[in-house]
Amino acid sequence: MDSNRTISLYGFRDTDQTVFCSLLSLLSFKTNAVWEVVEDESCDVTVVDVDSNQGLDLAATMESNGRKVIRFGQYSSMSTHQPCLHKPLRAADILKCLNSLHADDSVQSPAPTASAAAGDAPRQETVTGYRLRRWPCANILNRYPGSSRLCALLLKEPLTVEQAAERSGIAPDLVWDFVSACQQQNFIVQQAVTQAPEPVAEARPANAGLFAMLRSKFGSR
Amino acid sequence: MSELKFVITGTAGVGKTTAICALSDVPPVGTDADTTDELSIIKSTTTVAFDFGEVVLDDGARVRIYGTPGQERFRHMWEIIAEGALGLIILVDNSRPDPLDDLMIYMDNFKQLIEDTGVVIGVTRCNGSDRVSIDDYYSFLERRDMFCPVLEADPRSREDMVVLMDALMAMLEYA
Amino acid sequence: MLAEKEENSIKRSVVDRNLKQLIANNESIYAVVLSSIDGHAIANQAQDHFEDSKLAAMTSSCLALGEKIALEANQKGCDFVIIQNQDGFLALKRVGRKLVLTTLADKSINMGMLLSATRTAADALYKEIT
Repeated sequence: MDSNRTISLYGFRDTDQTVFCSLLSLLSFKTNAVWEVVEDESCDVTVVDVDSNQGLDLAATMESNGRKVIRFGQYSSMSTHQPCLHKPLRAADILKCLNSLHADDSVQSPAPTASAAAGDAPRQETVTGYRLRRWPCANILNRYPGSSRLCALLLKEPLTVEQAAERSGIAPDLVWDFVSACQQQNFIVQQAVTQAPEPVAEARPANAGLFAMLRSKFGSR
Repeated sequence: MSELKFVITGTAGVGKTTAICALSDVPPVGTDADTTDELSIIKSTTTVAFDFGEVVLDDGARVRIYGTPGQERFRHMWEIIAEGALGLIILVDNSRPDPLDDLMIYMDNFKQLIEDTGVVIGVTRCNGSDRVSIDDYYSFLERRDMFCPVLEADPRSREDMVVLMDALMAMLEYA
Repeated sequence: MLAEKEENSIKRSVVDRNLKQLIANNESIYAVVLSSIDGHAIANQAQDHFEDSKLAAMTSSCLALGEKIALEANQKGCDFVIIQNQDGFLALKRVGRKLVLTTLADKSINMGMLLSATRTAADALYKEIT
């Protein structure tokens, strides 16, 4: 289940702020948590533009107070700081940065499973995955909004329901329903998959916005 | 800014021009010539350069959908049209003697575009007694290590063409 | 059936005669191709060996585009599509509804001569075979 996080931006130029907010919105399917940009100082993470002395000081002060800070600045001034974002902003960097913060949280949070409690290295266990044999018929596609995303993912490689849900941004219970419906029609097969730790997701392709507009134009879901 | 375009290809007479009409917001531009060969039994004109229609988006951007000539002798146009395209739809006429052979002509000739972007296959003129089923297409593609959506489609149906476009965009984004 | 064969044979001889004449009367014209409007080569005459099938398909595309561009520019009755190159010219002209005549000339030709010779041959072909 996704968690909700808040993020605030400090010292950003208007254009950088607009770009950051747009990219964050586009990346909403890919981030491990649901991020909301706020102006509240009690936010989970602050991104500070450190290309000014004021920004540099603020970042240092916040960190010394135990706050999570992402430094944002020119490449040359950033080499020693983690996490950081370089100018100009790139979707892949934002995604990597936010998901690495999330990973840090997981390590600090109470261990929910036996393996994590034992401090094991990430294990590769074999679990049941699903792979589409063929693109489902229209009545299944129409029943599950956004199911073409699932179809594309499951046609390419077998995935567990959880993996498919995470990558598609569709709720796991809906993915279960979709998989069941496909199984009834013999459109999907079970395959063993190795549940390795999820790699850092790549940013969605440059045309994601264009495709969203086309889908809206066509009335497809 | 480069042109935003998708390409529809497939055998002559399969319904590429009709498919473009189904999707386009404007009357499509076509380059028809009278047919003078055996194709004249099923249609009086054929596309010799390209057809294109336009989908106008909310922000005013225009996405073009190009249809290629179907016959292999117009391969020169295939190369020109494929340049810079965002993705490919191949329409296959399932009532022809060997639709899988037909499919391979386009899979081979548009190989680079398919590798660079993605493809979906629309199978037209399907009926219950077809010699080649949709499952046969998937098996055929799997034997060649190819995985792409294959859907029955009627090029006259906007709904069917939208499903093809949606599948193509999903493959481009998520596969 | 026999009559049809005979008719085709006569048409073939008319085509060959007209194409040969076009080449013979113009030193700078080194090849001519008659093709169908949908891109099939029908006949050619050339000073040297000449492969016409690809050119026939390309001229079909090109002529159709030329005609479409003319319409888009609010001009009608596309007469010629001319391709002028560093070392020569191609002139494409429709012959009736179904045929295209393509003339290939080297750079020594006068453009007016090329167009005139191509038009004369196209008109003669149109009268005799359509």
